[in-house]
Amino acid sequence: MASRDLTASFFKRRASSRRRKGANGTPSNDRPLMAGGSDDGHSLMMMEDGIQMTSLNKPSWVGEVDSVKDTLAEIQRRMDRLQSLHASRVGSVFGKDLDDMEGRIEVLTRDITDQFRQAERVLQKVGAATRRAGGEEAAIGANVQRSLAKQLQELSVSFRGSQRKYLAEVQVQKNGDLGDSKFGIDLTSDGGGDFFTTQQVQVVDDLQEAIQSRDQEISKIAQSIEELGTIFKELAVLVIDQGTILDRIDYNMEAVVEHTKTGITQLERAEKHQRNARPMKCIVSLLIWPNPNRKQNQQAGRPPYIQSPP
Amino acid sequence: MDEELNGIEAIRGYIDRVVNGDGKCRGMKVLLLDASTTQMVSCVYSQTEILANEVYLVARLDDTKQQQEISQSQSLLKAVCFVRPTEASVGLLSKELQSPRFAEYHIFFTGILTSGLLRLLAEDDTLERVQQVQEFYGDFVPINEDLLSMQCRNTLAMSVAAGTSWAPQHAPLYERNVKGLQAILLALKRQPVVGIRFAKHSACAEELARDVHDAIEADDIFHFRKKRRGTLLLVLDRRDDPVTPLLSQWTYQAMVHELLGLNNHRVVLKGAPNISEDLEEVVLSSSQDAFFAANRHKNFGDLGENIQELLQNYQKQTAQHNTSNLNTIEAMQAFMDKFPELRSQSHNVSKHVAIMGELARLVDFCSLMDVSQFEQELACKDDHTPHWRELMEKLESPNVKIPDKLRLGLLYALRYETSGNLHMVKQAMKKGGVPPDMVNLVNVMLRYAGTKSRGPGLYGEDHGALAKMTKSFMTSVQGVQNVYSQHVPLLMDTIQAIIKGKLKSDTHPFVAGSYAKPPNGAPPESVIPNEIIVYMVGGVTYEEGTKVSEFNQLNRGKIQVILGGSTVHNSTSFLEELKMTAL
Repeated sequence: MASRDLTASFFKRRASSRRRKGANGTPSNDRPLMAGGSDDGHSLMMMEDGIQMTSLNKPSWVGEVDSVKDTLAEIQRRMDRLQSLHASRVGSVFGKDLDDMEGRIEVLTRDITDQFRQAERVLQKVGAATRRAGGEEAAIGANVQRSLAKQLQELSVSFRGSQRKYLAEVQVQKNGDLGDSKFGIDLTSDGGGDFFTTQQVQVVDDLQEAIQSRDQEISKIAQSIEELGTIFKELAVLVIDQGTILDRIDYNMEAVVEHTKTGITQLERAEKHQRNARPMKCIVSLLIWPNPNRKQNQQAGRPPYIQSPP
Repeated sequence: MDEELNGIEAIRGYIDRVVNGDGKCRGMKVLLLDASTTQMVSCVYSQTEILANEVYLVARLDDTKQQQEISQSQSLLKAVCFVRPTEASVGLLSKELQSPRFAEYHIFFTGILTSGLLRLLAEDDTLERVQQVQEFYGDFVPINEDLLSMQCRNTLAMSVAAGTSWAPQHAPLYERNVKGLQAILLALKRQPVVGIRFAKHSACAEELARDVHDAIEADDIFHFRKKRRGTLLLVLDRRDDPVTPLLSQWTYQAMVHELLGLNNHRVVLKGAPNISEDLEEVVLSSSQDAFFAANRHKNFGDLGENIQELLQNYQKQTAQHNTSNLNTIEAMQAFMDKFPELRSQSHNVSKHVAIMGELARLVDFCSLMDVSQFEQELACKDDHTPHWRELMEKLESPNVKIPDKLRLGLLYALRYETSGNLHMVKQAMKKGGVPPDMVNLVNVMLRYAGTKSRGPGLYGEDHGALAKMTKSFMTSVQGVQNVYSQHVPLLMDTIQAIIKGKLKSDTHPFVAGSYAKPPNGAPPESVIPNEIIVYMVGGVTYEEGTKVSEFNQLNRGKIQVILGGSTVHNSTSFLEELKMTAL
């Protein structure tokens, strides 16, 4: 694709125009921004007709958005660490280290789950704060929520995927253990009489203990997966279903432009509907209201044998 | 390896660069668009994707209802703008820059910006918020990879007025078409070295072709060092083939547009019986819907089978994950993981089933199988007496709906313009229920595209008698594969002629100076291009899009065609615009 950069030419003309204005004696109290496209919104200092806005004045939800982003990064890092712990735990079949490793895994898993919860809570707060502000800010807030919710959802899916894999591997081990002769005694040997030797009893006790602890471990893993399931459900409300009309940019613009205030209440209502588990209810009333932007979309015209809405 | 002609990739490429300010704009952003660019962006990018690029608000530059106060959060956002380089857009940008709402502005114009407008913009950027200004030539909507539209309405009137004293009334629309065609060349990075040809009978096509040629000569941007394959630019006029837009369609994309209306990939099902709320408006886009991408050119019969298969696969999947079978935690987790996928599958399947259902209902309700068979007859064969009989029968019949009666009348009038009893036809149409102003369209149609007005070749007149006999012999021997797909648009005949080197320059001349003289003194029309960019002023149809796509499949690696037009017509829009030519 061809393109052409007019920036240099633009800057030249801008500069010469300022010089001309300055030369004409027009007082100019404009001062240039820090050029160079800084990508960090926080440290931007803006001068507007003498009013100075520092980074202290940015609304709180912007800070919260950043904290969610940081949390996401943190979760990713921890998940990577968890993966390697899983791998080493599954790799080592026996030893005292097992308990220690399991402990660490449990702690890390709990931490990650807590962080998911926390991120989701902050995200809900951002939504509430921007909705209260209304207008464009509400639209921005809703979109930020959607984007971050999607990222959170993806992370949670991958987290639960790795948990399930780990669970499956641990279960295999547990079943494997029972058939194993690692305790040194062949339980299937025809040994003698109807009662167990003390040695065999000991073996059975050890095995029972092992089974119980495995069970505990497994049930703890299962629990954490369940917890995430609930968070996931709550997040799902915020995520747009891809491929539907709600995933169209022009559709969203029509909704925002025409009915910002009502759009927000509709958004809230839509969330409520989705919580009631009917997937995807379209916001019907927004479709019926006359929409000048739609007309500009130059519809090729519906054939006359279909009833158009009034 | 040479890049294939792909309109969707080209526009996506530009938007990818816009959403991060060509790499220079990170952080939370606003995307400012105008009416045209909204359509372009919406066709290639979804809301989810744009959010993933940290564009948290997409707004119209020309929306006066937006708040003008500088709210705190807004001034932390950076703005990336993607607009057409018109006076109006530049005016709005200037106003914006004088009391800016956002921290930074990165401006991307969809066409060549005049130096006057650049200066205006520079002078009004008093607070120096603009970080960059670039030209990204995404000035068309890529409906399919090989079908591009300018989304202009009323170009029939514009094409008719070309060269007359009414032309200035249509100047803005004409500009749009010229700029759009230029953008096609630039976005695809093609220079028409084999030449620029146009339909001789069309003053509008000629003007367009010459203007594009002049633009290429005047600006280096059109000259690409890497002269890829031999590209030919062909500018045609809808007028030379008024039959294709009138025909009923039987391939998925075309059929949806004809019966339901497919605009910017959106279909409105609301008002049709048995449609649930979440299916009132749906999206049919090849980039987001793999099933649609695979089936958009399939005919109705094959489509029905494929939708059935889609439904069966979906039912199989849901049976596996039936909630009543979830009795282990694992099963539950597996279900929860698959849930988003299943949900989107569910919507997709319901969507296609609903559309199919509605199409089938309309086919039945309007007796379209019967009507369409006759349409194909009228379009493809010369057989006056039986045609006359059948026409009268259909015009009387209560089973044939009024808009279809109109179309049949028009198709008859076009073929039997001189030999038919048009007065009686019009009477019969009136008796059949066609309102008088519609009946009058027969006259308007003949004025617009009768034998005197259109170019030659619509009914195969320029084929020698021997060629015609051979063709009809072969057809009757092989039997027509599908009686509903007999019709071949004139466009395809033209393209076939080009690839044989046989398109005559008295019907489709070259713009002088647009081609290099071929060696050995051979005539320029004998040079066979590898790529043909076709632009049809007045609009194209999905039928032509489908045929071009089939052609590309057949000739992959050898010859490629990409089709652009002022708009994509169905019979309703075509007849609406036809009416406007009489005003």
